[in-house]
Amino acid sequence: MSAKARDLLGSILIFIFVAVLWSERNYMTPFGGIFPDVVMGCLSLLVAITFILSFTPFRTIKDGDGASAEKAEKHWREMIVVAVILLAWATLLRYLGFALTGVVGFGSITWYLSERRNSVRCILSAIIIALLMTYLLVFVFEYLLKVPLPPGRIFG
Amino acid sequence: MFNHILMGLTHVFSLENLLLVLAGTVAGMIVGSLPGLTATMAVALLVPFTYTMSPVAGLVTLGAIYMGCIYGGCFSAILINTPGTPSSIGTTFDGYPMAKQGRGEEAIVAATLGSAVGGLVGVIALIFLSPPLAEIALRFGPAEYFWVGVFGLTIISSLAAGSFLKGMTGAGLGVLISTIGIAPIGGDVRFTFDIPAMQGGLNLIVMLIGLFCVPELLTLALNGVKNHQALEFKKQKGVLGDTVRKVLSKPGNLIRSSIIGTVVGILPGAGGNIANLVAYNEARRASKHPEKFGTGIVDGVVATEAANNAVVGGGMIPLVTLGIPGAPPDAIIYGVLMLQGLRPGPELFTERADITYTFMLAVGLSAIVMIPVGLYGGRLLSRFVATLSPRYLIPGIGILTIVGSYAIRNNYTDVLLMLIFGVIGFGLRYLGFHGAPIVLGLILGPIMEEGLVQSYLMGQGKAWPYVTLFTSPLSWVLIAFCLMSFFWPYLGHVKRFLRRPTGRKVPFDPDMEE
Repeated sequence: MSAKARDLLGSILIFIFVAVLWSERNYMTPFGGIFPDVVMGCLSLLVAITFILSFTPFRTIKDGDGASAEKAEKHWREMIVVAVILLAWATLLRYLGFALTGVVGFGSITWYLSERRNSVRCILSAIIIALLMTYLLVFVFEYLLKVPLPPGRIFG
Repeated sequence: MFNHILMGLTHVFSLENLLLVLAGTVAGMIVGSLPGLTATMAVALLVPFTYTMSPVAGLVTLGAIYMGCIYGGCFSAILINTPGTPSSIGTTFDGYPMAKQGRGEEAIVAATLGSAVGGLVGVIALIFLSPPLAEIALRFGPAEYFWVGVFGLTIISSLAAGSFLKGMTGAGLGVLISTIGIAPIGGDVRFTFDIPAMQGGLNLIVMLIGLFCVPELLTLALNGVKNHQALEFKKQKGVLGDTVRKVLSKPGNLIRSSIIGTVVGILPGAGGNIANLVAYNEARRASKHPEKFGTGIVDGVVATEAANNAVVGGGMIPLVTLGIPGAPPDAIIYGVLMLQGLRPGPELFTERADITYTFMLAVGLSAIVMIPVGLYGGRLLSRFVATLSPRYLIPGIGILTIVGSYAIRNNYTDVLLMLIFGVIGFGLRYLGFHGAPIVLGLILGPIMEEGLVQSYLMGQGKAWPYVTLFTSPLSWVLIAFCLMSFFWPYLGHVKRFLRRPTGRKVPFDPDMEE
């Protein structure tokens, strides 16, 4: 994606976010809206400038990470799969608890990112490391630090 | 103050705190040495380990983690030419050439000494500058706090983000997100979409973990799984003593770089990533042999490492006095202070002085602990960096982000929110909106809102209620700072524009890339 396309997309997305919050304005007191209204006004102005600049023939707006990120080889599929596994992990946490989702989530990401996914050795190493890591954290947090970890509805 | 320092010293040298400083420094060094993991991320990832600790123990551990992490970045910078944290970018310029010439040990000794001295200078500034600044902060009313917030936003936007426009937009976004939940004055429930979990607002630490850790994790996956090849370094007789003598023979470089780091740290939002490059540039300018920089010179390594570790103490000065994080990792420490019921400001130096001074001294002790740990554990650390594959690192970060976001309030919704904000943060980063201004906006939003609305209430009897924002001399000083930081990025462009040779005029825009 070109720098100008990124500016355009960024400004549109932030404007949508501001518009959504603006539609939710139902202040009960005269003080509740003083600050957020000013912020929404300023933010709209800033994204409007970014939006307009994205159509101008001038040089592009600086953006440290984005521009350099395009030069190297990217693994979008891996990134999306990791994001999906993480979201599934967080969703199932409520039902299955940390001990089980930790092993499955950790193990599946480790396995997926391996070069030779079909080898038995790779699958076994993913399972063993996931088990070790998860139960090490359970031991450290639950027993040493007394920080409760998600028990899950089914097993909790 | 000296009584508090003595009291702090007795607390720091208790066995528990000494062990925590050692453990925190080592943990920070390990995470900091892993390429791709920032110091902010390291502090955020290791926060859950402090949840059940006492405020002193928790802060001591976090301070040591932060200091160790910034130092740890030098190992991968020197041995694999990839900075462990962005604060060590400048260390690669001379550190890696030194390692390639077989002078890896010399580079590591120089980096260790520079880091320790820089860290100590930053902490000394923190201990001696914070109390007078806190006394000035006592004179601040709502209007002054509002302007302090505005100043923080303008300065981070111009310093930390590369593009002022995008920096301001990111900061505005953070401020807007901070208004979700119950209003600090009036009690309005705002922008919750009738979701009960959002009534209390979005938890700061959850947001910080999401915005700083998840984008890093996804970026690691995006860049692909590849192991790093570290250069070996062997212990050689006499290198330690020779390097120490060489570094100490040029105290100017050490002190100048440490002061640069401390000053850059004090500026809200500007961290070691800026300080190390500024210090490197200044060391080269001041050197009698500037042409040797970049070829493997000890001075370059010392300058960058002294500056980035001085940022640790410097960045905590605005944090403990005004509640404004000097560097991004300070935002996490701010979150932990709030979690432990400690409100940054003058109160920290009066009622909670025992905790504050113990914390500050522990950060200094961590800088000293780095010397033996770094010199004797460095080789082990470099091997660890080279062997740890991202296929284990990525789920490792994932599991710690889940633990960290859940354990704050034992709330499953927080875990989901953390991941959602993490994915949004990744998207925003891809679009050029950095995490640091967003986070500073999140922290400064409530301070600014309270200041603005209280000033408005105080001016109720006047023709224009907002006039109270402009009545005190301190407000005008802060307004002047705001204007200076706002127009600073434009000044360079105006100068260049005026010096241009006559000819075709190019449209002037300060946010445009060269």
